[in-house]
Amino acid sequence: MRSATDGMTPMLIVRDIFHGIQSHFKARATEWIMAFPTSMVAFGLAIQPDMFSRSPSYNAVSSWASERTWMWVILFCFFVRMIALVVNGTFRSFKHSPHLRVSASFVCFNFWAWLSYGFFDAFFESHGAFFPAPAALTFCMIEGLNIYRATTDIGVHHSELKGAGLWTGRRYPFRKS
Amino acid sequence: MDWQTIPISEILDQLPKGVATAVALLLIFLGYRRGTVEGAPKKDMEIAGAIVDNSAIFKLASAIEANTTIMARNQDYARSLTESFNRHSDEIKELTREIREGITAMLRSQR
Repeated sequence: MRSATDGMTPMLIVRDIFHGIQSHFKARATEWIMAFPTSMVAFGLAIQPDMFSRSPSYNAVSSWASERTWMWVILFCFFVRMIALVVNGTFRSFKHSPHLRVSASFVCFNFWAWLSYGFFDAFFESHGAFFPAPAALTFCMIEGLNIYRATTDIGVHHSELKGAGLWTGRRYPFRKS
Repeated sequence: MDWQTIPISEILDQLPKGVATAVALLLIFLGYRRGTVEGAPKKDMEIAGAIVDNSAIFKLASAIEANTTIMARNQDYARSLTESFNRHSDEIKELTREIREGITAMLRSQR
């Protein structure tokens, strides 16, 4: 079976990855930007293992999982997103990078939504700071936009397969002989 | 089950979290539907000096991709066909040799 990098030298792969990132950067800018707060949250949870106990604002998030679990989940999402963004558009034989992007954005969307809910709750119930609430909500909205864009890419790809008569409606789009 | 034991307040507390997941799922549905209905975003592109709609290029690229898949499959069939012909050719050679030996043996026995 042919791999995505067959017949390519390392320098060609690097050049293709660079061109792939460059050509898609405008369309994927929000995902690149959101990689930063995601990585910072994972970093923050790593260096501050008792973060959730320091403020009631984290009640909603901490009710789902501990700091350690969230750190690993967020870190995993960050790496999955980075791989998907680097691979996306460079190796045409790999068709699942939008699926990886959706998965990462879905988890991050929920994380930011629950964090935002916690901040709003703390503001109304226990006079917590107001600023973090709209900030987290903004991140949540950007992740929502990322979900929408990535699923649109999946839809476009499926419609192209249908147009070429290659869509079978199964998980693997190419008919197996 | 006594209905009074249902923890309504706890369920109401969890509701906003479910709303976030529901909104995310709705965005997935809307995004996918938009992608399948509208297809690739349309804009004019220049190919070999001609200005064409880029959806035509996407269709062409998909068709070429499909054709490549079919050609690769045909290549496999052709390879197996060639192997089969080679095998048949060897067997015919073997058969010819055996017939020649048979004829030689018959001629010898007649002498």
